[in-house]
Amino acid sequence: MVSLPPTVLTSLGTLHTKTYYSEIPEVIKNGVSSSPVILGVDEAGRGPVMGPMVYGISYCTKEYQDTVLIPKYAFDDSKKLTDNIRRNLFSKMYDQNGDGTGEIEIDGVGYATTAITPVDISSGMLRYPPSQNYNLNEQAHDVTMNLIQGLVEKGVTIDHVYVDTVGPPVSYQKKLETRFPNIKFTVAKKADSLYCVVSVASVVAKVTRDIILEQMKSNENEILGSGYPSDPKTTAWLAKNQKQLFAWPQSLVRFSWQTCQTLIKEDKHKIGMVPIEWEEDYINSKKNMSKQWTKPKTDNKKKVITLDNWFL
Amino acid sequence: MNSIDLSSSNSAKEYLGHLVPCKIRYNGPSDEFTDNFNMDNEEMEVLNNDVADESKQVYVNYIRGRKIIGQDVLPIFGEGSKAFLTENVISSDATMEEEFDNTESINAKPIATLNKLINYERDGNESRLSSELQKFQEYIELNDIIHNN
Repeated sequence: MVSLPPTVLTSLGTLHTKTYYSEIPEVIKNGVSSSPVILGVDEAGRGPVMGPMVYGISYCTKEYQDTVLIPKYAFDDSKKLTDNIRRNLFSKMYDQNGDGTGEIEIDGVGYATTAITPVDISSGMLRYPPSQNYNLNEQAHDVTMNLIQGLVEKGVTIDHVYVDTVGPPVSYQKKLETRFPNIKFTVAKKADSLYCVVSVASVVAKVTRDIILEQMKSNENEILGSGYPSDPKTTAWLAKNQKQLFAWPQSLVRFSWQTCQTLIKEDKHKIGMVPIEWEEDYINSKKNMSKQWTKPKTDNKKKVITLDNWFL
Repeated sequence: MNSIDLSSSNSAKEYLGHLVPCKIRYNGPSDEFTDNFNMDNEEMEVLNNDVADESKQVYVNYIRGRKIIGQDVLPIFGEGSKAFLTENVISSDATMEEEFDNTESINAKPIATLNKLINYERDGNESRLSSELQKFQEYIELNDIIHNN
């Protein structure tokens, strides 16, 4: 039986962000090659309302990239490859038996992933007060730097890092260069199409995310779709599974996405959503929080007793 | 309220109480708690790693993607303290005039026991949680002094 990728196994059954590092390839560990080590960074699942956002890194010697990866394998921007091709390529990078007995065909590449869970994404973005928010960009940058740092701590001497980014490349590149002064950085949009080592990272991240999302299904026949808000299958799942009080399972859905906020606030599916009000809802309100929570003056005994005034 | 009848408190069902930092515009039962409102033991293990005193341990839960962090209020009242959820029972001796004037005697009867009453604040606002519990402790201590307890 073919086992799941190790990057997936690390992230199953937890609400929280997990990181996996593969074994360091022998050629790098033993310093056999004089060729410099290059590293690619890419992510999968930044936009979806469901499932984790996965950051992947892959690294190899420049020589291995130029003499093995580019001529022999069809790595490319993961979005340009079919699901089967992606999974097939990634499967050549880990032991499919899961017990150390399987052959690893692409043995010159090391990789690592961090899967940021919907719980961590949402709770970071929805911290209070708003000044404490941990936005998606910061989460992404921190995870990337931690992945690189982890590899440095394992003793890998990295020469050049290529990063695919959706945000402004210049400021991000400067941030990375400041944190890692001994490493060269190239931060570019569409880097997954330009640099093979980034394409590998892109495939690792994409396959990992897709399989984690598959594993989150409550049953085999459940249709989640791609997880993007624009996917009709995903919106159909959100409509079908929305509950009045808690809305959706926190392990699967990113509540901080505008799609979710709108579905909850406007009760678009007419399921009778229970209104829940948070402090930030009153920040720009004419009624301040104190007024909202002050006990009404009328002494109506039939009124439901609540604990609103516990500390007032 | 005129009296509290605790004679049936031992038979009252036991629950965990949660004071959450939001207004939920609903009062009534829900079957959604089992799947959606469970302590995050993984996170609690991390946060309570250095907490030796069990009464000071923190609890972590989530409501619609918001992380809430709480602490049990009951240890402030002393070890083994319990809280009760009560319902009001209007005295059967009340006259129609008393009922009309809302001056009839009311007995509060326990319908549930709360072994823990966890007061939560939002993730990012934990300083208010400490501040609230500290103020509450001061209030209880002052109360004890006033009543010579």
